[in-house]
Formats: sequence, structure tokens, C-alpha cells
Amino acid sequence: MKHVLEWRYLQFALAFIGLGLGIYLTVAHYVSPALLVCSNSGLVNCARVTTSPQSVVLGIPVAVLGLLYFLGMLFLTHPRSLGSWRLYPWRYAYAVAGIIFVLYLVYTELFVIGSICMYCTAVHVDTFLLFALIVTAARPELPVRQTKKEMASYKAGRKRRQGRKSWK
Amino acid sequence: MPPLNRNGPTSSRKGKKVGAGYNYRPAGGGSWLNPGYLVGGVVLVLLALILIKIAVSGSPSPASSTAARPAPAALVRSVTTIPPATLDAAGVPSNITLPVATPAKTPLLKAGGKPEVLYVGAEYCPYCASERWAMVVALSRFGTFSNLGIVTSSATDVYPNTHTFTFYGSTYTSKYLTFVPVETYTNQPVPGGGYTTLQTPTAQQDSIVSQYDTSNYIPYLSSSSNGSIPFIDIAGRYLVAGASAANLPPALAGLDWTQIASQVRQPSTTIGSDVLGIANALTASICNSTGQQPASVCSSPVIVKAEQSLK
Repeated sequence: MKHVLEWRYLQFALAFIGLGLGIYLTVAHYVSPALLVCSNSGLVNCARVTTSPQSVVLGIPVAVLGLLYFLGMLFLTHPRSLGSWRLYPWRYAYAVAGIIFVLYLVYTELFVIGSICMYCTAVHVDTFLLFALIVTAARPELPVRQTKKEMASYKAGRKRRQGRKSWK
Repeated sequence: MPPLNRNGPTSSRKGKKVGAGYNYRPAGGGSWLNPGYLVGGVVLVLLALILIKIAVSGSPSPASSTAARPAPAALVRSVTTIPPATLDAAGVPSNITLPVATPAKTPLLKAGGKPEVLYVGAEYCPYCASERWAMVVALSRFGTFSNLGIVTSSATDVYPNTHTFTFYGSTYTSKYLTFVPVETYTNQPVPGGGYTTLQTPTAQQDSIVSQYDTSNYIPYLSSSSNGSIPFIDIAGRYLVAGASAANLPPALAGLDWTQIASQVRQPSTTIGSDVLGIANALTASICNSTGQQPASVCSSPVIVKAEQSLK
């Protein structure tokens, strides 16, 4: 079985890279699309994608959603978090939710906007790699709860051990 | 608490639920949640999207922009009859870039004995698209528009398909000023790049743009932005180049004319605040050019205060 802490730094690094891209796209969204060092014509047209109506979902810029997503992912993929069996289902669900949103964004770029954004694609690739690493990573070991019989046996043994100590 | 069974479950309990406790299951397994299936599924969906797009069109084709057509009377009415109280409520927000005053010895721009407001823009231009909403509101306070058209900005430029008016073919009548709009290009692209020519500026208009639409007269322009559109020359006394509110073009994204017009009448919205604010700034500069006429407009406290802010 793969050790659960394998690839721990790669996941965290990918989350960090995604956060950097998210910050860049968010700043460009609020300042000016001209900040993006990218083609502005043809198939690759960053300004067109980032200024399209589809760049805002439920009133929130997609760039900001990405930034928040990677902030959360940074926490979930922190090396200390990776060993936690409690966080594993959250990390799994988070990665799945992220990739579903990426599929929606790719569809929007190709079929609605008609252009693709270089930096958005980099974020999508980053999200996909995180998704692939997270869902294929081994689940941290779950604590095994004892049966009622084992609990009773343990308690009986504990009483005997406590009794011996008191005699000393 | 009893110590955990760090050696894993006993073989007799392996894979079976026991009481209310958890069972350890190794990652993977044969269920549909197999990670390989999930990752492979995502890859397949992505490939399918790309292949479908290529098969359907060969290359992604952007939505086309809307060609110009006459503006509905109700739309024009809603934008040209904004109550003074609504305009006053908007004031001139701090995010608005005010018109720049020309040096004192700059020749005045006149036509027909009246101050001339020269506008040079293009139908494809998204920043012109945002600025025209404010221009219609402002100029309606000094005169009357006829035959205004509606159009969308370029579908392939930034802020694609921004819904707006077009001044091409319109008529403006006023006893206080002359409005001369020049829409240089349409929003219809031509093979090889660029857009269809619509109106050609006169030699005088070209000269004005070459001289005044520069960083020498408009400090916030960089030298690489000389000749920016929209360009507005208000009687040779004030100049505007580019969008007067940076957050207005994105605010207009995805909205149709009716939706925009509705928000224009609400100063509490971003669109309302920006459009009305720009309109007030333009009004103040026009009032300075028309000798504070009409008094009903130029005596408004908001306009008087805005005039004092104009440099």
C-alpha cells in the first residue's frame, strides 16, 4: 500500500502554484486585462476571456473563486493535513468539485466565448493534476474501533493492571 | 480508550462491518469510485469537448457582434429623461476621471456660432460603448437626440459585445451647443484584421485628434496611448480620452440595453453611479463652455461643485 504521505510536497506545491496564478488573474481582473502578458487576438485571447460575461459567476469573479479554491487547497494539502484521515474526504470532495468547475470553464471557453486564456488553462491543468494526485493517493489509515467484546476484555485487563499497581 | 490496532484489522474482520465502528478499506477497490476511472473519465470528457469543438467548427468561432439598428423610442426616452434629482444623487464619484482642461490659450472649438462638442470613436470600441451611455445622458440636458442607433461593441475585443448606442446617423439639436460625432469604424470585422470604415474624420478633426489626443494635453495618457478613443473635445476647453470610469465596461458585460438603461436610473448601482457621475462631469465641462446655460442645469449644486473640481 502506498504510504499516505507520498507526494505530499508535490500536492502542496501545485496548490501554491495555483494560488499564485489565482492572485495574478484576480489582480488583472480588478486592475486591467492589459496586465496579462498574453495574446489578445485569435484563439488565445486572455483579455476577451477574462472580461467576458462568463468571467463572473453568481456575482463573483471566477478569478476570485479560483483564488479562494487554492487557498482552501493549500490548507488541505499541507503536509500536516495530508496525514489526517478526517480531512481526507474533504480533500477528495474538494478536488472533485474543482475539476467539475474546470470542465464547465473549459466548455465555456470553447463553446461560448470562443477563445482560451493561457493563464486560465494553466490553472485548469494545475487543478487537474491536483485532482489526479488526490484521488489516486492512498487514504490515511483509519482508526479501528474495537468490538464490544474487545472493549470489555480491555477494561477487565485495565482493572487488573490498576489493582496490581495499588499493591505496590 | 483502548489502544488502536496498529497492525490493521484481524483477518476475520477484514472487509466486514463490525458493530458501529469503521473498517479499514485500502484505497481503490473495484467500485465505480476507482481513481483510475475518475481521472480517465475527466480526461475523456476534456478530449471530447475539444474534439467536438474541432469537428463542429474547425476552430472556435466567437459570437458575432450586433450590427447597428434604430434605438427603440422607449429606450431612448428612459436614458434621456433622467430626473435632475437622480443625477444630483449620483454626484461625481471619486472613481470618475474628470475631463482635462486645456491650456488657457487653446483656440475654442465652435460650429455654427455655438460651442462644439466633438466626439471621435468607433462602434467596435468597448470603451466608447461605455462612454456613450454617459454622453447621451449629459447631452440630453442641453438638447435633443433623434435617430439614435443601438449596437454592440466588437465580439472579439475586450469586454465583447457591450450593448450601447451609436451616434452614426443620429441628429442632435440644441440652442446651446453643436454636437459632432464621428464613428470611424463599424463593429464588423474585415478579413485580415480591422473593421469596416464608417465615417472619415475631416482634416480639421484629424488635426484636433493628432494635437490634443496626446499625453501633452491629457496627462493620464501614456505616449503609447496617443490617439485613444473615445476622444471628446468639449469646445476646445476640456478633453476626454478613453473610458472615464475603469469599472464601467466590465459592469456592462452581459447586460442588454434595457437592463443597462434600468440601472442607469439607479445611482445606487455601479452602472448608475458611473454613468450618471460621468454625465455630471461632462455636464459641468459643457456648462463652463456654454456660459452656464441652461441655468436650470448649470445652477445645480452638484454641477457647480463639479465645475470647481475641473482643472
